[in-house]
Amino acid sequence: MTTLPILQLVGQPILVSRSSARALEPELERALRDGNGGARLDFAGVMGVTPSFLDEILSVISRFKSVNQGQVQVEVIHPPTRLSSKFSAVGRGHQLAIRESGNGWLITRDSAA
Amino acid sequence: MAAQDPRLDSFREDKVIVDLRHCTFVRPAAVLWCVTYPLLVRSRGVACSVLVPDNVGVCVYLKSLGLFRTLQDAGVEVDDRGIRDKKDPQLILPLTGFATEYEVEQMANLAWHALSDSGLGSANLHPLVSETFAELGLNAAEHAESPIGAYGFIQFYEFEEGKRFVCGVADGGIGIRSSLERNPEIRDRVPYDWVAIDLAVRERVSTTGNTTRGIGLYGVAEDMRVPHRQLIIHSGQGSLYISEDIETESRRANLFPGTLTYASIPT
Repeated sequence: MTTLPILQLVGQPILVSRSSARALEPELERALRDGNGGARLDFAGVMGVTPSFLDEILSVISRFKSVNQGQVQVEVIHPPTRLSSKFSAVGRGHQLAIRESGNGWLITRDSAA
Repeated sequence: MAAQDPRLDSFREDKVIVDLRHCTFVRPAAVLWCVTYPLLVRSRGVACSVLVPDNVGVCVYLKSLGLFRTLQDAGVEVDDRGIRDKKDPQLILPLTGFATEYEVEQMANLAWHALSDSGLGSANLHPLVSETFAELGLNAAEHAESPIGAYGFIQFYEFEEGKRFVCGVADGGIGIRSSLERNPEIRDRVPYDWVAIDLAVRERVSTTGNTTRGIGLYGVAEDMRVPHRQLIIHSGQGSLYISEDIETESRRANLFPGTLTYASIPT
């Protein structure tokens, strides 16, 4: 499973804009393809993230899920914050479930959707 | 009231004077009106002057925040002679103009570094302060359609009730109601500004109608629904207030020519 070092790729500790998230798209698509739907996003050193940034990341995961008709399992390790209702809401919009796991968050297909 | 709204074609003043001379205290949120209204007046090509407070302490505060410089740069007459430009160590991000998502991101990161360097307040709140400012700024950059752009600041402030981080953002744009009216599914549900604001803080209510959007203001409101935090959203003639005891109240209010958002986080 490929691990993407988010801080290194974006270069800033507070992740805000959709355009910054879109810059990760090629690496994330490649990681999902190579991992057959599995990838790991390492947020070590990231101090904050907005729903807008996460929304763009989930767009890529959601698109992969639709195109490949397959499962996705994306681990978010070292998340900058606890999983709050706003981030869960972003996931629901993409029919993805985000839940807390031992190492951070786990993003999967929302079986209730 | 409508005639006094400098966003409207019916605005017909020859000159506007904002008289602050008798102000002995200016709340941080009110500073945003003091920048938005004069700049909108100037954007109409109308002369505008701001008479600064007689109270020197208030003047020094407003000057340190960057209000006078911002107004002067836009051609507003401000006579601040003799008021020293004192560096305020509690000012995290002075009043700064922006128009794009990219600028918001730069400002949020600048603010986070400044918060970390300052040692002010609880360090575990610094990311929340930066994120909250960023989300409020993104909303303005993306939806406001403001002829003057948007302005924001972050400050550590010692109120009587305790020490707080405060973030403020304001624009002179179309307002939340007009923005939501762009969404045909919502258009008929927003007869008043205060109804529109009430809707805007709900999950997945957005201008676009895209089901993945509409989390920004909802997220900020959720983050502020914690005891002792506050959120004020003032847009047009409506306002919404999430109080320290987590009560939410939306109501009719005096005109704000655009949208003002203000979050207050105790530390």
